[in-house]
Amino acid sequence: MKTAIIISLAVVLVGVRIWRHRYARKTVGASDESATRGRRRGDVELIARREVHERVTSRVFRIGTIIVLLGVAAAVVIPVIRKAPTPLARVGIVGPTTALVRGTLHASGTELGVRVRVDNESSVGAAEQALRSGRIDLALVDNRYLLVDQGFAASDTSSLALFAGSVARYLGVEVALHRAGVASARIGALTSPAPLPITSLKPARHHNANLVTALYVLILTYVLLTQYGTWLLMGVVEEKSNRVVEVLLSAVSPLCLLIGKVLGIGLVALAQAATIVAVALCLGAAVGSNLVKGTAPVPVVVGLVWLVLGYAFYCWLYAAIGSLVERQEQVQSVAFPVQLPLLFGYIISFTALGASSPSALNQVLAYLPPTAPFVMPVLFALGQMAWWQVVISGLVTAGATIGMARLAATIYRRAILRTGRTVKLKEVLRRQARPLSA
Amino acid sequence: MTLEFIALRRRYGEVLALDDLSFDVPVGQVFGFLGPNGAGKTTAMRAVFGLVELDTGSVRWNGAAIGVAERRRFGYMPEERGLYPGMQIQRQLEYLCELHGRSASDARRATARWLERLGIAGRAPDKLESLSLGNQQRVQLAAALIHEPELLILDEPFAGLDPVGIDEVTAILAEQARAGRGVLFSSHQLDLVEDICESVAIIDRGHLVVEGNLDELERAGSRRLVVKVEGDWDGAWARGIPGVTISRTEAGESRLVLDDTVDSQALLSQAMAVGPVLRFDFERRRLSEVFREAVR
Repeated sequence: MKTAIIISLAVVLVGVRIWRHRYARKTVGASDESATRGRRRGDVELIARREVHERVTSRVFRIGTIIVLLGVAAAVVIPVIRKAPTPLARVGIVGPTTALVRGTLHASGTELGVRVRVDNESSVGAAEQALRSGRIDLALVDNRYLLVDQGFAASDTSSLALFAGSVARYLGVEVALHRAGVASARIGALTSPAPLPITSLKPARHHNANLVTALYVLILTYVLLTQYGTWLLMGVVEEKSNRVVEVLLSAVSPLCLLIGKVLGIGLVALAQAATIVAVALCLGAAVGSNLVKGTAPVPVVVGLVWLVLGYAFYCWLYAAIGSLVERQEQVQSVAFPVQLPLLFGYIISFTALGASSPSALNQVLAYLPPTAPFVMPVLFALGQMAWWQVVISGLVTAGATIGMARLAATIYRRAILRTGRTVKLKEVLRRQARPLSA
Repeated sequence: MTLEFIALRRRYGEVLALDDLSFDVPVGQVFGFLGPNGAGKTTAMRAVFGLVELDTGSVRWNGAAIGVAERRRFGYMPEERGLYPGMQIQRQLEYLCELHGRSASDARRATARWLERLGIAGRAPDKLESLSLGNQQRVQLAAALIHEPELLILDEPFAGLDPVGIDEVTAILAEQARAGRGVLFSSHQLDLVEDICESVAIIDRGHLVVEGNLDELERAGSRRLVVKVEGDWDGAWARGIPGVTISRTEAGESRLVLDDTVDSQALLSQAMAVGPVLRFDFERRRLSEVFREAVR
């Protein structure tokens, strides 16, 4: 798992380096088309770099990230700390004993989740004294009876009571078989037989590990997509409300400004998401949390890929509606319609977690770009979708993202400089609405 | 090099913001862009940067259409000031300089130079919002100048400045013009415009009403003469002289408007005949008068 994350981060870093190297900023004055393209890429990089720098160095981001990481650390570590220790049953044996009896004691302990420690006691008197002093919990006397300090009520379900009852039953069977003349060598085979195979009419429910992975991926995707979308929305509204956009657009095209913003915030988002996952997994591995035991590498990587695809799809939507807004206070009201499909995809994916096979609705939603980032990784983690289905859904979402980006760019171009009031969507989508130059 | 506004037309619903607006802005001089509120000045200035989509007409620089590459070589100070309030001043200026095509090292040097020049070098690492409004205005001006633009377009650059700030900006605009750059700015402070501009364009309801060299505009029209003759308090000596109109008398000084037929030397002789002439000089029209006549 850690290797997969390290490789993913390395690929992203190398990709960014190559991209920066290839599209190094061209100087002003070159007029040919390739120079223009290079300049635009340079603008996008510059704008993205500012977004990254301003966010990463902002106190709100740093404190927020630390709080999230502390929350993740707490979620990983606290269950481990609070987990009750495995109970210990100390057994004293009086008289001769056999390997079979010792094996029976340990087998009973394993079955009940109880660790067993066996000591020899020299006499019944010594065993009684040890019981009274609390040095041992249970004594087996001459393979004939069990001795405890305090008797067990019929309703007692404590580990020791269950353990004593189990040992008494198994040893009783062994004694009975012995008295019936069964050879000692066969008694072990008779009391610990090979289990019968189990067949089922329906497939087994999900393995716990995949269920846990799917749940983590789902929650992380929803929380981060909502958070990063809101970052983008706030960023666009900030530039529009304080009019800096007019200064910026006097030098760069609206499309470059939009792409730079989306890319910059996206890089910060990806880095933060990768950090959260890496910290959670490393910490989980360090403290032996069920978080690591319950996760599978491939579904986690697929989940991260869908997080990126989800951001790519929704970020344009958030940026577009941000360009319609005049003031920061209006952000919540305009964000709500965009958050509805996110919420729907999130909730509907929970229904998939409890089902042994995907419903028809979930199968359809797994291919629809607004809901696919939630439904598809969950179904994949549960083993209900094959990798090729994930690829097809990913391609559909990527295609829809291109369409969404074009639409968002049009809305942004037409709305970003309209100030004084909230711009209505139908105004900017009218055919005769005039955009700025790209 | 010239900035040309060619037949600009832009309608917002029922309002015609620009109505066949045409004029040229030569470089190497400070050019004032005047007009009453809502005349279309800001719309015309935004059109230079493609921030307004024109119905018809075009803005050209050196005879060619203006694209992104040209705009990078212009500096713009919008009427509604706009920078990032929470961003460090130094980083902000460097960022804007780089956006205009300068290298990172050039941007660093230019930022240091302009912050020093504007007296706010000590505030470089501070956030913009921590500055006074006057200093924020200085940073906004620096943002327009930081990349050494060929053409400066400033919308109301003196609004909100104290007298010291006005002097600073005035000196910078004159310096930019002397360096051979184009400087176009709008303002309602006509006395200031009169002091620093060589040429002006006055528009009203989106249409050009006056354009030209300020000196010529102030000399144009009827000749105005101020005459003070000892013992004369109401300019009675000038009454009845053909072609002469008394526009005003005040403190013994008479303001006369002469038509083209009047010989000023003959008029002087007539005044001297009344008594000793204490003052006899031609008066230029004030820009405020030119403005009021133009937009009446």
